[in-house]
Amino acid sequence: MRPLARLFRRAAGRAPRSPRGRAALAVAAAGLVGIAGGTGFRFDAAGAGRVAPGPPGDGSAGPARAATALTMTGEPRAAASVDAKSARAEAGRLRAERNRLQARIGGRVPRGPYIVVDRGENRLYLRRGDDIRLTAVVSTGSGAVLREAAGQRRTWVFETPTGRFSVLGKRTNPVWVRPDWAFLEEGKAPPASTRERYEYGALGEYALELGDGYLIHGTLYERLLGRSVTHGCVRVGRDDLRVLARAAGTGTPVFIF
Amino acid sequence: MRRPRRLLRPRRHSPCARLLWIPGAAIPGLGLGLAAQADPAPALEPLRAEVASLALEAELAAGSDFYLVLDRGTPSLTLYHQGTALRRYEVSGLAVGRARRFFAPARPLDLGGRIWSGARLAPERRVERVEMVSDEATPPDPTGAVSWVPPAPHELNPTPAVFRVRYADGLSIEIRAERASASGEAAGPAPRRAGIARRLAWWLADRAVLLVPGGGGQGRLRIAMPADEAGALYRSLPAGSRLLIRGA
Repeated sequence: MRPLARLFRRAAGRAPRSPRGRAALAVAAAGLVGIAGGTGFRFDAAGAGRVAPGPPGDGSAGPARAATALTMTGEPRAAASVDAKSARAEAGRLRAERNRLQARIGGRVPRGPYIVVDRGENRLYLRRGDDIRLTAVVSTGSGAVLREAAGQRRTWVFETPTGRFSVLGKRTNPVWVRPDWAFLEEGKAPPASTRERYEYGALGEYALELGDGYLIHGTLYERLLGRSVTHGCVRVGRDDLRVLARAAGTGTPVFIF
Repeated sequence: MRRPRRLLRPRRHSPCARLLWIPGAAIPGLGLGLAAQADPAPALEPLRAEVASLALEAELAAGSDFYLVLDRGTPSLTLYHQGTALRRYEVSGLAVGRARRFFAPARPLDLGGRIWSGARLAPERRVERVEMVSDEATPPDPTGAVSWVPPAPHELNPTPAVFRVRYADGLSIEIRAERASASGEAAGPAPRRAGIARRLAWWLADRAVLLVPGGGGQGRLRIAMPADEAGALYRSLPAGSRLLIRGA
């Protein structure tokens, strides 16, 4: 308390003595209180933020205005009945529009099973609607960069691509045809003969082709599952790969994010 | 013999009494008519809001971007791509921030009725990128041993206790990681405590943005999630993803 009291006395001693100075200090103090305590965001669970509906995004007309027609004698009852009629018509139109939009959105959702790969968590999900049939720990692309020092001076970035894909084919006991980068990253020159590129067993029991050389396949290094160590493919453990291979076929959608 | 009185025979009504039936029957009909003529517009508003929200969702589903849908009613947070749900994140609490400037309400931001774009994380995720040059590469160990094992995702990017997802046009969502999951089980590794400097910077920034002339029009949401869910969102949220908020 002593250091605080000493500080207060020192501050009070340095406070302006003139009325104008003290008024300025009071305004500054009030401003600080206003900023610190009265400015910012107050959160409440009830939610005060308005969630106002915007105009329909499909170019349709905005909300219908109630008709204000009057009879020749100016009776208000007839005008109210026109309002009710137009409101019913508007409600019918809105319901039809709602059904059309729901069908449009639902039309893009896969009907059968689909595969979801989460690169950030190295997880693979086999889903069917809201049902998750399989959760697998996988490995995805490391993000490493390989630069070719000589020759064509190519650059490879070993990342798993994102987006929507389809299983283009399924192979059993696939043989890996090693691409040029697989030799260059070991300090070797790529062989001229294709036969020298074959590697058996490296891809596990099954491989699901996604296109552009990317696969979902097995691995010899199951202890590294869960880490981002691949050259872009998705590596799956043996047991999970068997489940996947049974459930997925050509045309199965694959989403990677 | 006197004719017995037919006690059960109803009395004949007088013509005046008959006239009373007419308005008596008309009153319920009048009531129904008045009810029908009551303002029908309020019943249309929820329908219009739903159609507007669906139109935006259809626009997102037709695109090629990843997008989050935050449903304030449930509440729930789901990542979608082309209309397909990819990952549902468990939300244990949702609060909307009311902006104030010197104790007076500031201009609020309409959260619904639009698509928010350009998601950016704060703090940003760490990215470790190894660069190799082919003539410096060495052959692998023939025994299969590896000299370096990259960190697991939760080791490279531990779950922050608090992080923000900022969108263009003034919306910022603050995600708070809770220790336990909704089922009460421990939710994985403890969230990394947010740096005091970073939280102070956010505190000052929230005030500064409201104090500039024409300030306001800022939106803040606060979402509480179990730590493992918050971590999954932090590590996996696609950069530049979009957001749609469905009203309660």
